[in-house]
Amino acid sequence: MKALLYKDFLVLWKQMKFVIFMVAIFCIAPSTTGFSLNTFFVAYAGMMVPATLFAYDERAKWDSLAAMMPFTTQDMVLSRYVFSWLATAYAVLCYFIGQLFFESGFPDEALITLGLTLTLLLVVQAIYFPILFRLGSEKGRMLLLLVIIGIMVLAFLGAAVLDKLAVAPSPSVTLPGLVIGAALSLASVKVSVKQYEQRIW
Amino acid sequence: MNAIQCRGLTKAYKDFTLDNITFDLPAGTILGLVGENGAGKSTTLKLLMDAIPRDGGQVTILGTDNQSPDFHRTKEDIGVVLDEACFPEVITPKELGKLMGYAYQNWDQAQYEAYLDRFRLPRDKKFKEFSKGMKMKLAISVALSHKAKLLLLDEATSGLDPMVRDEILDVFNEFTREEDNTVILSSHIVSDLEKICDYIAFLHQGRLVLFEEKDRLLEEYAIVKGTAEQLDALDPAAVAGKKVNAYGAQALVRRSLIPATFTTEHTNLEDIILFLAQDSSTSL
Repeated sequence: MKALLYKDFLVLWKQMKFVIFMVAIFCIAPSTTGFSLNTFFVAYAGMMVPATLFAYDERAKWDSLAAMMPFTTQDMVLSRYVFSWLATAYAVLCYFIGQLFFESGFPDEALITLGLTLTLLLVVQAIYFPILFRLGSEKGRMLLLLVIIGIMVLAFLGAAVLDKLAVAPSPSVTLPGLVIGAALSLASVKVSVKQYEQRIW
Repeated sequence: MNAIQCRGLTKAYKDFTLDNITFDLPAGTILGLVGENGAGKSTTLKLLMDAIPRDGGQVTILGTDNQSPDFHRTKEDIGVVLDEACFPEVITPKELGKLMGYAYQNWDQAQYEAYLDRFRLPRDKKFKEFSKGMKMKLAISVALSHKAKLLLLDEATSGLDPMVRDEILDVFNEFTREEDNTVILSSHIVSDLEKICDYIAFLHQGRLVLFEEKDRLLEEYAIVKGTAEQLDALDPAAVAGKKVNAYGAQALVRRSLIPATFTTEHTNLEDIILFLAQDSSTSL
């Protein structure tokens, strides 16, 4: 798996330096500038970075070669998940740096927003990655919008239910969501392995 | 010992079926896999490596069933070159060496560097900036630098100029000087296969029409020329293929089955393949 992560890192570093830089800038950028998209860019890093790596692999036909190398299907799938988690962690780190140095630390509101964003991100990844592994990035990308819209609807419904139940917003509200998201993400690895094995080559 | 045992290998697509491929390839030999575009050469190689799901059959490579959990370890001993090399565009040979060092436990960096020098490949140039010949040389350098015992080469010489092809064929020949090293080279350039192969497998429309030692093929088959009537008089069992045109007729025959009165001409692999392709197309 080390080889696969190294390959992804090289591709990302050489072809997406601008994206790495942009994520850092927007995640760190203080909201007082009136242009805060920090949590959006956390989601962007966790979603678009791996999706773009899928596309680069497809263009190079890397999967055909990797299937002939001493990697297991699990290695190939898991490495992509791990890389997306690392990309997310990088964006979260940038976000924390921004909060620490340019904002007022970690108020409840910021933590709730970040927690909900990460939950949504994990859920979107859990649904979207198996699709990418099955269909490839070309066809998979078309379904991304549908997945995001579906999850946004679910998120709004969830928020409405919480509102009705009069649950007071606190950072702990996001914990169950994060746990569910993490569980879905792990289950999604297994589903992706199956999908990748059954992919039509 | 056989490097590869392949039994009834089958893969069905919507519009193409690779049908019941069976052969044994002894270790220490070079097999030329020949066939027209779309005959199933690449599919066969992918199935041998279990890189795509199959619909039937069984494959043992270097003594390991290719669907056993241990097979990914056996892949350490198999060097693969695909027709497009398939490395990430932005990677340089230097970085590729490091990447492959992580991928293969038996990676031999010194060997890799030696091949880069031999093929005069720049270490810091991006893969996408390489010519087709350089890309193939880089892929071959990788395939030969992890102490492989089996090389699978899918159209590794296609699209290359004759000088580069010759240089690469020499490298494959050197590889098989080690007693147990085996090569499968798929190509539709029959002259390349004739130069270096010990065995020839001919795939046509998804079927294995022929699997034979090259020397035996060249000994067994010959060309007979004459009129259509003269060739019609031959024992049908002796005729492997026939071509008739306005200027006369010629047939690919089995020397041992035709009367000594017939004058035969020496044939080459390309003619044998063309005759057999024509014959199997008409009989399909």
